[in-house]
Amino acid sequence: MTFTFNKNTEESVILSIQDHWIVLLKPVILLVCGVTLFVFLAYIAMLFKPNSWILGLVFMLLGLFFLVVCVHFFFVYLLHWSISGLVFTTKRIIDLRFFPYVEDDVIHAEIFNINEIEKWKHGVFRNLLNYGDLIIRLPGKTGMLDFKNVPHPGRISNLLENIRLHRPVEKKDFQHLGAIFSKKYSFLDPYSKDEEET
Amino acid sequence: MTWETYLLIVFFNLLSLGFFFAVRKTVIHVTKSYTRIVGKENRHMVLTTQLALIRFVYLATVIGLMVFSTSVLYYYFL
Repeated sequence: MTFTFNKNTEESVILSIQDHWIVLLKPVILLVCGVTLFVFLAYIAMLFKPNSWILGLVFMLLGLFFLVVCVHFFFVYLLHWSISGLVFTTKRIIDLRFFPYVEDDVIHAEIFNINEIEKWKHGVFRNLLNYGDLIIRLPGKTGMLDFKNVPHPGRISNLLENIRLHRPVEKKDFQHLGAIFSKKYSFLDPYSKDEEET
Repeated sequence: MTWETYLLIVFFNLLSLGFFFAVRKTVIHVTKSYTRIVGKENRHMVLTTQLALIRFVYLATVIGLMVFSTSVLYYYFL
């Protein structure tokens, strides 16, 4: 069974994806550094305690402060990863970028206005773990959309290319993407609605 | 235990709680905004089980940190 998307197709969400899990390495390293720094400073504080109680207290307070800040930023990064993402509808790409306190961007791009789609997968890790960058070139001032660390960029760029060029997309392509993303990501099958109607 | 000890304990507890509630406020605001973008019928794409789990673990960790910092300071001032 195939389906062709065009401008008259009713808009429905096809796919929602997050950044690849590899981006979580940074907060994990931050957390490990925070805990290690606390242990180190607490150890120094206990060494100083018998001779210089005040100096020991300063080290202990510094250690606790770093621990609280690192734990907090670990969860800030986790929330950033969990909330940010790309939402693909039958007509648009919606890029949701959120980082607590710092960033809250929403970009809407019409799929049928896309000039060019590029997929970049450079490096051993990117090819091994199957993630990369998607670059979407748009006409006019908006220029270019650059999505970093997208999982399975090849499949997603193929899907976008098929929708953009009004090529028929097979149901199994959606089902395959659904199977990839279903555990972590929501997936709505645009066929199910048609099948219910028929 | 002197009043300085209590002051430091209260400071670290408030610091942990303050960070948590500040983030909680921005997350609630942004998830509401994103739900409006994707539509109510697709709100499970923004309000995921994963997000709920992260928020729950964050709260549990903050409570743990409060207890831990209180214990560390109490032990140091003994």
